Amino acid sequence: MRAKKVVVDALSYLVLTVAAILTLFPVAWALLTSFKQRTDIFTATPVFFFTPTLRNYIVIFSGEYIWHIRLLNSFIIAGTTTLICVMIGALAAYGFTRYDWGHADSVANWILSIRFLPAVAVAIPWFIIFNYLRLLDTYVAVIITYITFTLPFAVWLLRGFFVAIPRELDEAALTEGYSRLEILLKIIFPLAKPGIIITSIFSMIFAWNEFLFALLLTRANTMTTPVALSTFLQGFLVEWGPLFAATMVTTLPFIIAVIILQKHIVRGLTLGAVSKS
Amino acid sequence: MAITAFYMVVVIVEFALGFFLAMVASRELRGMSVFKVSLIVPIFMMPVAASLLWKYMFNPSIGILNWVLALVGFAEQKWVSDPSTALTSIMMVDIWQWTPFMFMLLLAGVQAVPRESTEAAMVDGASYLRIIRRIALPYMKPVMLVAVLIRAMDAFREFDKIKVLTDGGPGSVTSNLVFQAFLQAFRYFEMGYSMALSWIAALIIIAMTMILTRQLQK
Repeated sequence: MRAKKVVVDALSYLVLTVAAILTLFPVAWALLTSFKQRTDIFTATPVFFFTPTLRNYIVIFSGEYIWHIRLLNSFIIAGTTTLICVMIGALAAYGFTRYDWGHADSVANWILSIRFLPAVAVAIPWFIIFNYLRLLDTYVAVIITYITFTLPFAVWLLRGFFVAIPRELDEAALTEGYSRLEILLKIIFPLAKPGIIITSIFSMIFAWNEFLFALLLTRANTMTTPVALSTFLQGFLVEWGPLFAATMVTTLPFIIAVIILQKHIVRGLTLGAVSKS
Repeated sequence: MAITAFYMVVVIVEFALGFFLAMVASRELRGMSVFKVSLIVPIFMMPVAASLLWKYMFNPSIGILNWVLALVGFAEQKWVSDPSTALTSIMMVDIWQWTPFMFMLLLAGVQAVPRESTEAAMVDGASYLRIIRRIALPYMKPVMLVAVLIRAMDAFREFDKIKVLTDGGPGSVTSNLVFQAFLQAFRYFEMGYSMALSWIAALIIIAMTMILTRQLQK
């Protein structure tokens, strides 16, 4: 029995180690490449030992790559999207959970289904509308389209959290003379804080990673990081060094932040199907 | 359409791998939290960035994958630029990125199974497989369904990876319904045709969402 446990333990470690290596290797390899000189990148035999250089990281923040501007664009767009989305989402979720009206549940489900629509289905109408309005290559256009995707999900998630807060609290506050808005801001918000955090993380991840709309609606002035990354592929020779330096600058801080917050994320990903953990 | 269906195969592979890993990782061993964190990193990688990592490794002349293949004695591949391997290559990237998603959800599911019932079964002398089948699986059913449905919907509208890795090519062997709709609209300017394709895609997705929400309400 004891010997059997040792074998099973050893096998478990083996399986997990292999899985972890396969999972992390591509990221590690790209990280390594971002510190390489061109001569160490364009080799038939991969180079594992080399003199590291910061040249790629310096290059992307200067001259043609203007990565600080791409990051700023992404940040403005993702930040504004998240802010608006949480504000409107909270108001809608409050309405869903505090007023009784017919078919509230079916409406909520329909709202969720928008989150899963293929982006292409709405990209064409949006593109045509923004073209008419001369809003292509503006922050407004991208933010509006992102909100159409993140808001339904925000309403859905927040609704789940607001339902859990007893209505008696509202009624008590109403008799004390609070207005509905005050109740939302002073009573519901503090109690639903985990829900607000999850919703913000998800809006942020969506807006930060989104590619298709950004590809269609942004040009030189508002180009976000995913689109900018894909432009590295144009041209005869791909500059892998600067490309991976840019990739690391864009994704690593995000990955680290998200891993710290991962407890919150599981609940959001399962749309509440795993409530306790 | 066939290509779209083919992409969905990744969901099965991801589920099987994710389930297996979640079962292994749910055992209480020292240092498990390190594994748990390392196994979920790809989920948070921007899909465009993940595709770029792999595009670099797929590169026939400077990519590391061909070097590894040569090392263990296999013939070199052209990966995404060969019509016969392009689709499987994209699927590989998808499996790399999203098996961790299945793993994360299923692990949360396993850990929500009440300890008392598994221990009671063990005392009664039930075998490991029997415990999984009779106790863990029924508890995990909702999480499993949600995980599979979400991944199925995302696999159905795969776009970023196709755009970055192959641009739908070579020819159109990796071009799914959604990518076709994109090409028709923005390369050939056939807006009507493209909208028709988009609507078909949208209707399928709406049907899938309805199944999902019904599961969530149970």
